[in-house]
Amino acid sequence: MARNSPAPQESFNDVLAWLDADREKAAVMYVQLRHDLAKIFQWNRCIDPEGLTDEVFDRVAKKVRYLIHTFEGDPRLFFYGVARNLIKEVPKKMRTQVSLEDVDLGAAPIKDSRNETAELRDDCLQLCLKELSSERRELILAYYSREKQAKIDHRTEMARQLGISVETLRVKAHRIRSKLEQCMERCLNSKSPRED
Amino acid sequence: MKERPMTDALIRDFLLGKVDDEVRQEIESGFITDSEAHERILAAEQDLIDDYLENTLTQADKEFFLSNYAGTADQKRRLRISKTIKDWANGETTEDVAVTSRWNKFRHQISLRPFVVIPVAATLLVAITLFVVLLNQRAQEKNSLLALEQEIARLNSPSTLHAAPRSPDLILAPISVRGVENKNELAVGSDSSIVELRLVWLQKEDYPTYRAVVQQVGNEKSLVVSNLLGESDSGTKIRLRLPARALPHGLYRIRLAGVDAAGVTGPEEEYTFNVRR
Repeated sequence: MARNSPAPQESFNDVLAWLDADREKAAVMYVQLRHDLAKIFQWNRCIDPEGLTDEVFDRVAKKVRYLIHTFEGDPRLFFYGVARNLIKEVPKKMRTQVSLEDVDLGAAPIKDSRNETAELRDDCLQLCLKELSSERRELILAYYSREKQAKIDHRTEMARQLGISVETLRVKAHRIRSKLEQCMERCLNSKSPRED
Repeated sequence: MKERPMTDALIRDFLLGKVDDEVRQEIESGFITDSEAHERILAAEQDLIDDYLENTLTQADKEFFLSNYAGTADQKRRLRISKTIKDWANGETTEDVAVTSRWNKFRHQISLRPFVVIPVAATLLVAITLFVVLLNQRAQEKNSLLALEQEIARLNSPSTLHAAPRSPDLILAPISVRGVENKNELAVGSDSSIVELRLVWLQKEDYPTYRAVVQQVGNEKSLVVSNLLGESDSGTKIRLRLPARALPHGLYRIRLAGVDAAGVTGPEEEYTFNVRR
């Protein structure tokens, strides 16, 4: 999405200050909020979630000096409100259906702008697995070692043995997998940079 | 806005576009502000991706999923990454990884079960300890046997025999010519350090050297003494010196054979004697 007019640096600083008085905490919140808003745009089937996220920050930045004194509550909810308005404004994805063949992950590798092969992903996986502690590696391995119906019973048993709820186990596995996925993305980016 | 519990089913419906705007906004604002809800939603999204990869989504859900989660290059990449991780966990990826994962699976299965791991670990510990003790014992036995054989070799070297002559403690004839074996008794006192035997050689042919194998009856271990020399003093006798400590109380058998210049061993003679302490 083409941005109307990017916010100046001073406004960006004000946005950070509004998120949290501690600049480091504010920076972390900023990054997280950007990620979350992009996700929300994606869930709402919007084209260019990243561009829309930029637009949200630009719009908020323009009002931030006023908002600091007037808005009550969690500032993140204001960002979300702006995002909701944007969702109503922008067109949804033109292409609401993707042919199954296009993403059939069991079939031959799909061509895209990156030259990523299964071997490269395996290499990255191996590298990233080394960054996990053995305990985490084994947990995620066990968590994803079963499929379909068997995985439900298996995860219930795992949770019982670990003395935690299935929900807690699920979140634990999710955190590890997220780290693993992020690491793999970084690894793939470094080994097969975008051609476009 | 009415608050409602954020159940897994509700989150899944949200992810599949099956909720109204009001519920959608509740979930999305929770996603932004509530870290617990945030993680639950992302975990549910991962589960949805897994279900797609396992081909367990209905056709309608699959189509919605594809339009929302496989539309861009980044989304496709994420799906491929997810598939790579799942394949690894399922042991379906490359051979090396598969080997690692199978081993890890085994280790994990073991490690997660205290009721299995404790007895297994204890058994392994005992087995390893016994194995180490056994190895040490064997090494010690081997070393002491080696030391003993070296000592015997030194005792029976021509220079030692010549330098320190002594009268024999026992003269033994081969059992083929003895009527009563147990008359050959060797009394070994506590002060004795060496005993000397004279083995009568009755075969016609004499040899440059002789080889004796000394064995306590009932004991598998034996002492091999090579390069023994014969003395031709009123018939050939072979002098054999042994450390007294190598001869505990009991019945002994010696097999003696001549060794020719080419190293070929001739016929054996057998001798027996009792050690009394």
